[in-house]
Amino acid sequence: MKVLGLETQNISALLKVVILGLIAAVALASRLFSIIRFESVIHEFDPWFNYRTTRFLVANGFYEFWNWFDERSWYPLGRVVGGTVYPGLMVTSATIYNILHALNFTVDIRNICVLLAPLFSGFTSVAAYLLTSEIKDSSAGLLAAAFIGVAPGYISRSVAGSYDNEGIAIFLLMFTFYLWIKALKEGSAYWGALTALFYFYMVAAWGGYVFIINLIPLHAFTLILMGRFSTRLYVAYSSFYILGTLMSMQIPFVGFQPTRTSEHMAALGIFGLIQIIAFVEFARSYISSNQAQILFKSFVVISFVGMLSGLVLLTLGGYIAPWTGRFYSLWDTGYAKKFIPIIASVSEHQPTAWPSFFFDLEMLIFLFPAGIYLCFKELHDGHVFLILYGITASYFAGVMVRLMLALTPVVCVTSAIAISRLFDIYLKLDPEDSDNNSVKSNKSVIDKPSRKGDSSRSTSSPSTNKSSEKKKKSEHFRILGFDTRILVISNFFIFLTIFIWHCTWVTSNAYSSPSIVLASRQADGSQYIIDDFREAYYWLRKNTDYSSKVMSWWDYGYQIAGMADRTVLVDNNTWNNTHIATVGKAMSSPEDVAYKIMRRHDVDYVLVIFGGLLGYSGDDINKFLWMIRIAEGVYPNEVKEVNFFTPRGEYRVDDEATPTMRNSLMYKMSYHNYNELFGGQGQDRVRGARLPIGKIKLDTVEEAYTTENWIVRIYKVKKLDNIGRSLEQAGEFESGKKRRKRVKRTN
Amino acid sequence: MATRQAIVSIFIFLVFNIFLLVVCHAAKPSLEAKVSALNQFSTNNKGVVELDSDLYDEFVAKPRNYSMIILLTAMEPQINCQPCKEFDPEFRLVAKSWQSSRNEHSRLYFGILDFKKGREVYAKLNLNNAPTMFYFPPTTGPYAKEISEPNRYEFNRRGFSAEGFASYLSGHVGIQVPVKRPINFFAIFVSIFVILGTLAAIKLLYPFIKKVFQNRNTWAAISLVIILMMISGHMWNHIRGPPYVLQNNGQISYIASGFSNQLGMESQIVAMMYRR
Repeated sequence: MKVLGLETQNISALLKVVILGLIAAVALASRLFSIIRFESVIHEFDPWFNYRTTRFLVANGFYEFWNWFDERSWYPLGRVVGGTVYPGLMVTSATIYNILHALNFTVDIRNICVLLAPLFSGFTSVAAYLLTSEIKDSSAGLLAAAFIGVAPGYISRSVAGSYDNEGIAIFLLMFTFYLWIKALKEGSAYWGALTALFYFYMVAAWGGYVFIINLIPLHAFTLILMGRFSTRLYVAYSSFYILGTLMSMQIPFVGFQPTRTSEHMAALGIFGLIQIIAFVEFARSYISSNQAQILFKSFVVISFVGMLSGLVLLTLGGYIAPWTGRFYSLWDTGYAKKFIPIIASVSEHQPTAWPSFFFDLEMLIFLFPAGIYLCFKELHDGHVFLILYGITASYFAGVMVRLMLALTPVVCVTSAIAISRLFDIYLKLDPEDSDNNSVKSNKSVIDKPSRKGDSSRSTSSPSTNKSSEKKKKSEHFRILGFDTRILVISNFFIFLTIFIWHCTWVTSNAYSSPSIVLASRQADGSQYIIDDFREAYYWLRKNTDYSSKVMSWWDYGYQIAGMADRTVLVDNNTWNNTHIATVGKAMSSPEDVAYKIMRRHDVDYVLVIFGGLLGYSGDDINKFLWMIRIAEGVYPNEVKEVNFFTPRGEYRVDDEATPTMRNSLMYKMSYHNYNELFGGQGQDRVRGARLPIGKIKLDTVEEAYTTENWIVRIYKVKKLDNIGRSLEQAGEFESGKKRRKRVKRTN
Repeated sequence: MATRQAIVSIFIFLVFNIFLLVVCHAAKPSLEAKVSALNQFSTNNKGVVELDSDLYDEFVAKPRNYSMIILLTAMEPQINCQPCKEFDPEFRLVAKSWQSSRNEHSRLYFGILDFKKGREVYAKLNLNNAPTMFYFPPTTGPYAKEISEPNRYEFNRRGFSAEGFASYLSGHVGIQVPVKRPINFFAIFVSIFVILGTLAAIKLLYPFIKKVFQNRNTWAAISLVIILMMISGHMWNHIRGPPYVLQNNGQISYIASGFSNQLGMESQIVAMMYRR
């Protein structure tokens, strides 16, 4: 058949390319809201660190970056940056930068960083297309690509400016899975090695690589249990595991972890098991007596149990590190709250309530189970993989909001399978054509089991297939009615349109705020930009000494280092809990105690975030309880959470606030001079409270700068008094009070 | 010669001590009397001292050369304090374990003050919730602490289990407070029996089970149930433990307001909705 002088096959290939290109373009474009609304800036917290390191990498070269010791964070400890980052992201953007500059496109590194995540989301939709068409067909692939291009669950991590590891990691995740399915299908070491290569890229890019190194072994193990061991599996897994592990160990941050920690032991164990099974299969092909079969089977089982207990013993003996806290908290969900408050304190580590599933995935979340069910209908190796991925990812997404990101791809793929199957049935115009198709697909199903040589199953499966074939036929005949088709198709067309609408709405409203620049609507409807953060950081940059040290809660560490270029005590890389607890202690202690801590750490400026004037709820007083909790974990005798609660167990800032609360440095710095602004009694708009009347006296620090909307307040730590008085006495003297007379001691 | 000197010095020391004791005794019930009373109470009652308001005042009064942990509880049925009932056996378990351990018993005493007998104490401490627990550190003697103020046990943070309680005590007293849960032989026996029974049943019904086990639909059902549970927010319920339904002005509301809030019922509603 020819259309416009082209073979239909060529036309469909051309269409596919064009559609895929358009999808990638849409994926990129829908992430640009933040640039249009605000400007091309780096967002949030972690991206600022990534941006800073990328600039360092571009300026100083790879080897300098590799050996970079950053003395301007975690003062006075410093941080070995080269050995504690996943460098994939920075290296990627530096590579793009160098290529563009070699071609004489003098693009600023910031723009590359801002646009990297949208670019890679375009790639992600291509990877989703490849994966889905490998499992079903290309029409499902195109649907999957379209879904993942606009699904808010993924957009939330990859809008322009959100320059974070996840931005490129989801592409790598999908592509690695595609390559793995391909390798398994072909049984070739070439594809296995490619899988390993992209696995290596993933290890370099994101800590979530642990998901891959556990999911692929789980898939292999399930296939073995299902009696589907084959040389294809053997070749694919062995080549992937060996190369992938060796390469992943080249990343300094990972190092010897693949051989020494529990997270990686599943992969190693399956690797051992697969060798044993391969050997047994080999031996079996020469000896065929019944007793020998039993012997082999028991050999496999015994060696598996032996390996398992060996691993357990090694773990108990301390040769293999047990699960780290972060991973362990995924299993024992109460663990983090009890033992690692710093993990529990992060809002994206909270469990997920169902509205956010719907918010992030809309109708896909309803199609997801249907897609999984369809996978069970066919159940080739690829479908088994999708099912396992679906189950594990939905568990993780349920435990942690943040891991919704890992669930989104599989939801997109399975819903695409469900929808395209529906379209397959309802859009086929020629009934005979569809019949031929179903027979064809059945043939391939029948082919499958006979290849693996298990006689008992292969005899049983044709009969079930025949029955399903009959059912299919009757289904086709039943839905021949044109009206039914129109109804169903138009319904789903509407669903899909609403889905796109929802996604665009969510993207533009919820996920496109850079969070360092806030926007609000004024009474007349015009937009009002609140730019306090950058104002404060710029003030620090221009008005303080280059070597001054800034103390703030760890959330703002990366931003201060990135935008203000000043030394910070703690930052978002929360590697040293004690140091963070020390800062928490300083914030929650009375001035004299806090002053000692600040002097010891050479602190020059203290920065607090205060939202009371504007009603900005993510401020330090609301985070204060976590500071206290973390400080109490390390200094249980000096900081006590109970003292910050009223006897009725309330957390208050008004007249009823406890003395400990009102004497804490954080409270004083937040509300210093606030009453005077109102000319009497200040009104806190976040907590809806009226402040206690009276001036808040600060002796050890003095106000240095407060931004336009009072969101950021910077205080300068006073030097010791010149004539040896305590700063409190000096303050009293300054304010005109007389020194209390003291009785001279005779001795 | 040397021995005689020693005897003399011991004698002088004793006399001095008695003198001191007499002086103290004139003021208030002596430390020894308190300790012996405590010892007697606790040995008679499996390590727990049942207090009333007077005894509470007496034992808490300084000086103390012992640590004292006091649980203020309300076990009366009409008050219906569920956490009190939950914590009571755990508290007694720790007390009993302490009693039967090799540690010096006189360092730590476990007191229980029920609301029924100690309304005055509740009123004095301005307490209106139970259970509340205070740790009173020793003020004199070799283990005296700098801080003599009582320390409040935080049930929210440390939980209601004996282990959490014991680790809290260990931290404050300075020696390991053991928890020896009595071995429940009956439970062990039952579980062994059940396991053997299931194994036998599997052996007998193997052909049938094999069919179920190898059936695709079984696994499909299991995985779908897991997925539905997870995406309908079951995990959130599991972690946060919200109320099942909320009574609101006499009406039952099934759906919680707020974006990251939900009720137990909701998750089931949503899960049902999925099974269109």
